[in-house]
Amino acid sequence: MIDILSESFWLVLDPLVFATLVIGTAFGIVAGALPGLGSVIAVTICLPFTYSLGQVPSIALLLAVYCGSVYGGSISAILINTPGTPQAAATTLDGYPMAVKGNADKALGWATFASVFGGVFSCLVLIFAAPQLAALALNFGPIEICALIVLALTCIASVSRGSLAKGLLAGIIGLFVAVIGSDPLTGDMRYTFDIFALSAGFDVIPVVVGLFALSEVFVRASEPQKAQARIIRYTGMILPGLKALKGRWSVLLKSSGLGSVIGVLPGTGAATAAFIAYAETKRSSPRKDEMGNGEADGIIAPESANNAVTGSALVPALALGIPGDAVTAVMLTALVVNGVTPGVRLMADNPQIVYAAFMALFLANLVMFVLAFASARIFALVLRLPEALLMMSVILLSILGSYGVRGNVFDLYVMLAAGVLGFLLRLFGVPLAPVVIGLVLGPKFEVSLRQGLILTDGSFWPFLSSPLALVLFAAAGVAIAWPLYAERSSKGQAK
Amino acid sequence: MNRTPNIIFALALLLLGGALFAHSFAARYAAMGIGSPVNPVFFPRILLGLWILLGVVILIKAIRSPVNFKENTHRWQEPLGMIAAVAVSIWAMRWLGYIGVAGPLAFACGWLLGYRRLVILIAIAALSAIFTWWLFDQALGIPLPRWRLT
Repeated sequence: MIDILSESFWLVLDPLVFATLVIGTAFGIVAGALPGLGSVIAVTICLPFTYSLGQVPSIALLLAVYCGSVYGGSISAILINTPGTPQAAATTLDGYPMAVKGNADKALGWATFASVFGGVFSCLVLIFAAPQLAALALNFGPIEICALIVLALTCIASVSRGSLAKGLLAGIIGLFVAVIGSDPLTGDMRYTFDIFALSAGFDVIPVVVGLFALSEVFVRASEPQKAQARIIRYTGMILPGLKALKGRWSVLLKSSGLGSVIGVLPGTGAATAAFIAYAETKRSSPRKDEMGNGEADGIIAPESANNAVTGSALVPALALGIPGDAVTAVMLTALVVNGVTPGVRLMADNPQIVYAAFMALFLANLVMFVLAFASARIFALVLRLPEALLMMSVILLSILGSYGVRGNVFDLYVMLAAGVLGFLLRLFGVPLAPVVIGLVLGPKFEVSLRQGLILTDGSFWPFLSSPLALVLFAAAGVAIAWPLYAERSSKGQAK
Repeated sequence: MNRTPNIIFALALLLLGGALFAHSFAARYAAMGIGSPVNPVFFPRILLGLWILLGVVILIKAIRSPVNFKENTHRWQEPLGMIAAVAVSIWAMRWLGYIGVAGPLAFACGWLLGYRRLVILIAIAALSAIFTWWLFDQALGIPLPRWRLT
């Protein structure tokens, strides 16, 4: 164990890793601060940089971008009352009122401190939980893996915005796209329509880049132009002192704990964690009457909870190879490109990489603290950047990201088609996250289902004889039934 | 979104799902996986069956939704122009290389998104094309398509 830890430590000490942590965090904060860009697009447009960096620097870059972008959303939430990312939406409730009162520097100080606290807390959760879960998952057979993927997909579809049917359909579309190409068990061609380039199937990266980054450019082009938001001026950042922190440790710990637990669940994500932590603090805080008027508890709760998701969301992703949300799905894809296959064997086969990732995440939070404190004023300046110039760089990085994987122009057409599909799906309220997760999990799902059926001579009944699979299938049933029940009961109340 | 476009969208999904499902019964798939309890089109058929079922649910919901007379504020020319610009750039990249198409594409993107300070736009489009080419092709060693007209 000591050998593995020291090997991981030396991997992280590489100057290139440190450079990627600093650049990634800075880029993540900027991308998070810009309204509408968000964590998924930030991680997606960083993909081309990972092709030549090597395993650990690539992982460090993506983790730093993820951490930085979740924190960055709070800057615009506080200064322009517009959350840069959905995760920071709850921060506007008290962050902006505090800024309007002339305390923007304090609001950003609270947001920074809470974000770093939540991030470090979740890092500890990841370090302890991921190896346990991976050890447990080593006992999983094809039937249990199949049940786990069904649960992940139904959870993600059911908590996605919009209707349940559209969320489920999005997951099905993702699974179907993964089917195109050669059969994973027999090698027969399916749905290739005699197009040779399709025989190896779609590479995930051009599809992800098109769905998220390129479709965002198309969506921005279709929206009427908006006036630039009013930006509150501030002179620097003031971190909370020990006196100010007195009596707020419980809020910090409870919100970080909530964020860590919610982050492990597939499909929930940082935005849900932030709102649940805010609601819980509004219920239990001794200063609850002040919340909504610029109370620090209203910033601490969502910011510590949303950053606490960054580490815990990686628990199922690294230990089981099951991404909990779109960001971790994109990150898993990047890991595969770099020769790291997340899943049950990762902890056993490449423990030094996993521990290096844990250390990189921990360091990313510390780098985020230093960067946010030293240059928050500069990050706030990016809010003045014209949207058109920003989208220009998104479109160029999309092209580079899609072409760079295989050096194939066909992948650029795939990116464009995925961009148009993403644009249409977003226009009609179909969530994109289930498409990507279906695409990433598709081959594994099909193989485990078919292997299970081969073992059971084509019968589905033995799938329910495994107690673990039964529990997972039942949970999937609840994930589908619960939103339907909630919708019906809210309609009944409305009548 | 108004009701009619939603119905059209649901119908399009349903038709696409139906066509793909029908394709799974094509002669080429009949001989695949003989002797195995599950053949290669078994899994796609399950997916497409669910696709059609969900398409029907979405269609019924769209038909039953109240008519919405809210004015449609979406613009169409700009996103269509953007799609065309990306398509032409990809097509031309084989001959003009990355650097030959990246500048005009970046310019078109900025222009279509409403940026009208022409000199700044041209300068930034050219600089971003050159910088990204240098960064990826030269610094990171990821070979990008080259100019082939000479």
